Amino acid sequence: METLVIQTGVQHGRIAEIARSRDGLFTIGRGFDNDMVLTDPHIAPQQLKFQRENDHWKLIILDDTNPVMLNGVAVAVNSIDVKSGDRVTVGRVKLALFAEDHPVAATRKLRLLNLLSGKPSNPFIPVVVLLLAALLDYCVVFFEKSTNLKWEDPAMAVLTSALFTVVWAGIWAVTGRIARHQHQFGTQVIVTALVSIFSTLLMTATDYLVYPFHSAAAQEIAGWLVAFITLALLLRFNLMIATNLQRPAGVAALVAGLTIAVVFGLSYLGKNEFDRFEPVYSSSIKPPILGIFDGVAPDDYFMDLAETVKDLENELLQLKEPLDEESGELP
Amino acid sequence: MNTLDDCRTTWLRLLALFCLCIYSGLVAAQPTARSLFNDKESLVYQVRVIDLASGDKYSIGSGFRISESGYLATNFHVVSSFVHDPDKYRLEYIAADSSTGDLTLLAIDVVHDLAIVDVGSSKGETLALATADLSKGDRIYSMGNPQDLGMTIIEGTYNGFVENSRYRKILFSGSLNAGMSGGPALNAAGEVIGINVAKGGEQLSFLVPVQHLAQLVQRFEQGTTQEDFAATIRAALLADQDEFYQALLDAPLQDKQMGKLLIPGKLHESLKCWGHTVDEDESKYEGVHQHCKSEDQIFVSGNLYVGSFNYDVELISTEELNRFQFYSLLEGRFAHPSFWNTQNMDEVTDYECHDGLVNLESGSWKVSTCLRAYKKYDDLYDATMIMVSTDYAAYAAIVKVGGSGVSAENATAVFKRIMEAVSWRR
Repeated sequence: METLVIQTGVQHGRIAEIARSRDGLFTIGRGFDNDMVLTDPHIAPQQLKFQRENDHWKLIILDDTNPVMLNGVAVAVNSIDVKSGDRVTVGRVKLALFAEDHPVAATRKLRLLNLLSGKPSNPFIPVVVLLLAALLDYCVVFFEKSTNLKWEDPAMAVLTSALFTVVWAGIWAVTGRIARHQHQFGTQVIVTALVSIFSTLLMTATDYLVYPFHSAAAQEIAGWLVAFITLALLLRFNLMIATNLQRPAGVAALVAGLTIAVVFGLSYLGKNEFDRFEPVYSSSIKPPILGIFDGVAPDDYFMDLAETVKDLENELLQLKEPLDEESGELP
Repeated sequence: MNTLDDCRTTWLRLLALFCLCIYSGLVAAQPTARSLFNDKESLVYQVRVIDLASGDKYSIGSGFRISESGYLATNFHVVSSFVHDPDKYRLEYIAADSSTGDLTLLAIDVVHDLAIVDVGSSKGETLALATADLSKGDRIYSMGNPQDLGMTIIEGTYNGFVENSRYRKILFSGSLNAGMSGGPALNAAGEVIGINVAKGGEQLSFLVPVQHLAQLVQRFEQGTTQEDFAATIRAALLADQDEFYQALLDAPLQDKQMGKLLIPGKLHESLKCWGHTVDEDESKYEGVHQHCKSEDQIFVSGNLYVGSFNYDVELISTEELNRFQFYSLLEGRFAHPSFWNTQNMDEVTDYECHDGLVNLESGSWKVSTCLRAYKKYDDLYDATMIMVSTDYAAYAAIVKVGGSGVSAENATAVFKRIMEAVSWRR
């Protein structure tokens, strides 16, 4: 290990400061005669000295006002051997020590290269994608759901959702600025709007896919699933652009899963006790399209209904069984 | 202060009214009411449900002596808390001479809201049950203890039986108040013609016809009443709903025309039907609605009423909405009505629903049927079915049928019958 590389202020995207030893010696402290000058009042003017001895390096502690940590453990002696990859904490500053030939992680493949290479070339693209998302949103809400044909009714909701897209992209731009020194705001707007378009289409498609099941449970599960997919997809791209996380997809799935679980839990807990007096049933009704929705004969329907009644009877029996056992034990 | 002043004003007004009554009724009615009251007061009791833990009254009603051995007649709803929770309550009476004692519950008729209790002491006199019919306009006199204020007598008019009612009730144009329940309504001869039961509005009260009491007494004397009151209630509710739903199933389905739709008309004489039309300019659809419901309910407990029945038909059409918008509109209207008959999970299970698309002769209908079982009365359910036609882009029909306190078989049979009777006019 000919030269020691000392790195401080690591941030994703770049290394804030790096210094190399000269002639087998490197000093650190608050004094201006050091090789690396650290402005932390908890560091002595002459704090540390790295010194090469044969083929290895020694860390010599010159001041013991505050303990020096090596890989998280306070160094109790005045001098200790160090190797490439060691972490040293002095005062409140963290340093990493490397040999010049210290191995680095393999290069990762960058997806969506066009989207991410450099600055967004054209500020129109994010605006256009955002408008497209809002337009699609509006069309779906108005042409599928509006029952009073007041064009201004869905406008507010659509504008709110567009505003949300911009704010969401803004939050991720700030995150990117902190984590990678690049805001990539335009790119964040594009991916957020694209995911919103995808989500709108997915929701509409799911409505029709789930309809033939005529099941309230299927309706509800599909709803949560669409929410999960949307959130996971969104986070996956937001994270990929704004951070240097190794596995943005995994993290996104995890965070989305946890978020959905928490929201589901809260909505379950928040259920009014009076809600239990209202039936939960499949309320979805879709217009006939190419006659693809086929029904059953009334007799079959009522046979299935008889099963539902049996389920209720069994539920009642189960409710009563514990009572019967209790009373059975009484003398 | 306000309350006191209000009270004073109210009392003054009441006093004025009272004087007015005396003045106007001085000639004919007052002597009858006075003599009836004097004659019969000793035969009318206050019936109290006493909360065992606190020792205080939980609810109050009235009752009257119908047998020399000491039986009193009262309303089932007066003693219902004791019936459902005999470990928590006991029954007590207060007689006109302020003597008190325990009451024993002997027999109940939940459907007609009647009960027989035993004072446990014999006494010569009883109130005779009338056998002769009255005519509309006859003066009748109701006795009871309203709001624990003291025994009173009210004079009013007999107005025959409530029309189109599932349970026969006398319409009494007089003002009953809480606490008078279970008290007797007498004719001028001092015979019982009915039992105070409920109030409908201003000078609009209801009496249980005395025949039902006579039947209960007869059943009790013949020993055909049960001591297991829960079983009695269940059997009575099952029999009552059987009668009603059999009538629905046996009645010919009168076809009624509603736009393009042929539907069964009024299903039962006890149903009250209302209609309205939505055709305002700002509304993007036209709707014709027929709502029928039975307004009679059976009081089972403070937590449970049963016996309601609803039958609604809506015909909706549009010239302006596209098919997606129209079906969104249908989604909004495809909702099960609430029975509002209980708010207590001890009484009923959660609803279980079965939903599907059904091919009828009249086309495809999306149908949702939901039932919940009664936890304390086996084989009784609240059941509701809604169906909407799904074949046409610009018009549709929504049919809703439901009943509380019905057996699964009866509910299913009625649902099926109505479902198959609905048709589009060619």
